[in-house]
Amino acid sequence: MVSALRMVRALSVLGYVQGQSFAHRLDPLTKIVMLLSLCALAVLARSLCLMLAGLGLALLLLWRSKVGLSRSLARLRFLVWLVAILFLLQVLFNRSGRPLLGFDLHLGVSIDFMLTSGGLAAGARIASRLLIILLSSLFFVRTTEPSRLAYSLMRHGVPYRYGFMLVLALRFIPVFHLEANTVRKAQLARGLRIDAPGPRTLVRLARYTFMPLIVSALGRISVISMSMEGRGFGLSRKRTSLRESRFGLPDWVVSLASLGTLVGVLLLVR
Amino acid sequence: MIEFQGLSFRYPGGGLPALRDISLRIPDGAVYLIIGESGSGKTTLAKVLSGFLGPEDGDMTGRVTIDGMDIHGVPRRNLVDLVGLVQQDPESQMVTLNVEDEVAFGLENRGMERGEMASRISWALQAAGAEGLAGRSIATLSGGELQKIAIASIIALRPRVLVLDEPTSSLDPPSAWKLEEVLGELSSKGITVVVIEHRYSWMAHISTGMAVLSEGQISAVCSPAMVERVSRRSPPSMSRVETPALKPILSLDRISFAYEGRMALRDVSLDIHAGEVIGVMGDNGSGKSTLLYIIMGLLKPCGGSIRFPDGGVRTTSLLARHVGMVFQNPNHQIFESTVNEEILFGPRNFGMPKQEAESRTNGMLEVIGLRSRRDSSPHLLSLGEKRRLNVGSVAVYDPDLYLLDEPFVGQDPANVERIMAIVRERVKRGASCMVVTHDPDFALQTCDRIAFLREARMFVQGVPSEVFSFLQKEGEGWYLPSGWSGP
Repeated sequence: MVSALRMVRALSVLGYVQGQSFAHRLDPLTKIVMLLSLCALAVLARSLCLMLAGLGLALLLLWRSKVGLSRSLARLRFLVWLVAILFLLQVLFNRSGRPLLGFDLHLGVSIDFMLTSGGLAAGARIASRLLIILLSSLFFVRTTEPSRLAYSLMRHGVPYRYGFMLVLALRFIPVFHLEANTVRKAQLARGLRIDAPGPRTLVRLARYTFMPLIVSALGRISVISMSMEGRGFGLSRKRTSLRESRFGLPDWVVSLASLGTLVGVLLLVR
Repeated sequence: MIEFQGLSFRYPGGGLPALRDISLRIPDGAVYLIIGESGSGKTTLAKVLSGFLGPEDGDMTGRVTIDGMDIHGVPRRNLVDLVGLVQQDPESQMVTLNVEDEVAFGLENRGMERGEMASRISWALQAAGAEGLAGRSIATLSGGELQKIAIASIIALRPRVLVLDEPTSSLDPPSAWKLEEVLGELSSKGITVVVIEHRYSWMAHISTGMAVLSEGQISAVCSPAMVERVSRRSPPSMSRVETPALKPILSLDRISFAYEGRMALRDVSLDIHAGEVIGVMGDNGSGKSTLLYIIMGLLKPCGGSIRFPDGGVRTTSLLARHVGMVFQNPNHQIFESTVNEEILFGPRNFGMPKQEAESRTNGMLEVIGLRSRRDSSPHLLSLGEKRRLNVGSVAVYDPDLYLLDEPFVGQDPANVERIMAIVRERVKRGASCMVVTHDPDFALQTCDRIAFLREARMFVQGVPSEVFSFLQKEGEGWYLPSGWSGP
């Protein structure tokens, strides 16, 4: 069970963070609307100012929801570095627009670089676009309890059989992750060398990992289906819910404002 | 009243019947035990009784009635009010992500109104002794806590009969004894409880009857007084290896380990000598498996050191050749497609010459009694056979130290003895063994020393009589062997 706790903690690094902020209280569907609106803005907008405003909004949402902005970004440093590299590549190699600065770099051969207004703008656009998508997704994931998301989808018309597919997936992802770790330990304990990966080793490794996991998954399917059937899953078409529907006034206001703002800015200042 | 009337059941594909001519009456409000060896038909009986196996699933004759109603005359999903089954593995039965959702699951399926549902959930959690778990995420619950939620989620539907299939197989003794209280309480509320078990001494006080299954038939039916008497009987003796303890083959010196900031082991020291069997005991989550992983080199301690007699350091791959580990779940360490290949897996990885590897494999197949199954898929073996295969696939390369992590979950005493005979023979020749167990009878009969962990620390270690005396003094009655009255 200690391992399960470790897993939960590991997942929580990029998963849901408990809280009572305004964002936490919003219905998951509202946050899906917010997420899609911000992503649409990132993809469709051409104005750099509009993108920077979107980026500012995403940062503001994350900051106000108190989910550990700096810690989350530190954990996502790989993606942040990727954004920085894409920005630099545009700045260094995109020569459109007005020249701002030129210099030669001697690395055995001479390479001349030219900083241009077009390169800077293109770099800023790409970086803003990716950061908006990254931060708004982070906002959604960190403030939305997975089971609330599934139950919300069911309340809003997704048939409960499909809704429970999502719940079960969320339930068993950490379990299978844990099992994969145990299988790796068992491989090491029985002398399987995984420190010299050649094509043959990789094939063996995949086989020796998937076989035990598939057997375990099949065993679990039988237990879970008995558990569900034994408690009357599918007994009736209509299913009640313990969780109260909370799509209230704040949800309507935020959803409509998100959609309205998106449509407005794209039509007027795109 | 539950009534089995001449029930026989055979799984499709021929073979012997799993159940033969079972006739039995279990009165309302009873706490009834069904015991028997592995493969005697206990789980099949539980599934037939709870409606998961019926005439459409195999060759079935006879019938099962609850209060006169033939339970196979109605679809399974309509039996939710009548009979509920808690399966062996509580974790795999959980369908949702938190406690309230889990207990509400069946009630939501029945279309119960929210207000009534809330009071029913509260009742079920209280009846299962789990009221303190409300609001918790399923992923953070211990084995004992999961078991309580599995029970609560079934009794929330208020079935007249509750069937539990080996409910204590993964529980530490305190959790097993607490479960006894819960079942006694449910019985007093009029629910008939049927428990399938290998370890049943924990239930002796509340049991109102017991049936013994053997090869699919009822071989004996016991009254409550007989249950109590049988449960007090000393377990079969598993003689220890009388080998004088030799020099330590490795020493743990103030080992500490933390998972994401949570201490799993704290300053644990232990010497392991050649020729001894050490029982590792303790509550669920006390660090027993972590200790074994560290010795195997699969986890790196954050404090302390592991010392070998030559003062050297061992990498995991070098350790693997000399330390053999059997994991909790037999399926996690079965990699090959035949029994023969599975035994060969270790010797091949360790670069043993082909002829020697094959000769050792043939010998090991004989020792573990699987020679006739050498070309079968390991996944088609019974649980007991899989466990023997796990031990055989490690013993074949003769490690100096055997690490067995709860290898006897769900195993009957005959198979436990068979596995321990293999290990004992190695120990006699100078190997050592550490075995994680929750069974004090096994520890007393089999182990030379016991290391008892509590909350990540070494609580007590020593020869079994000293350790049990200490536990008795500390008021840990549930960890004492049956009939323990002192050293």
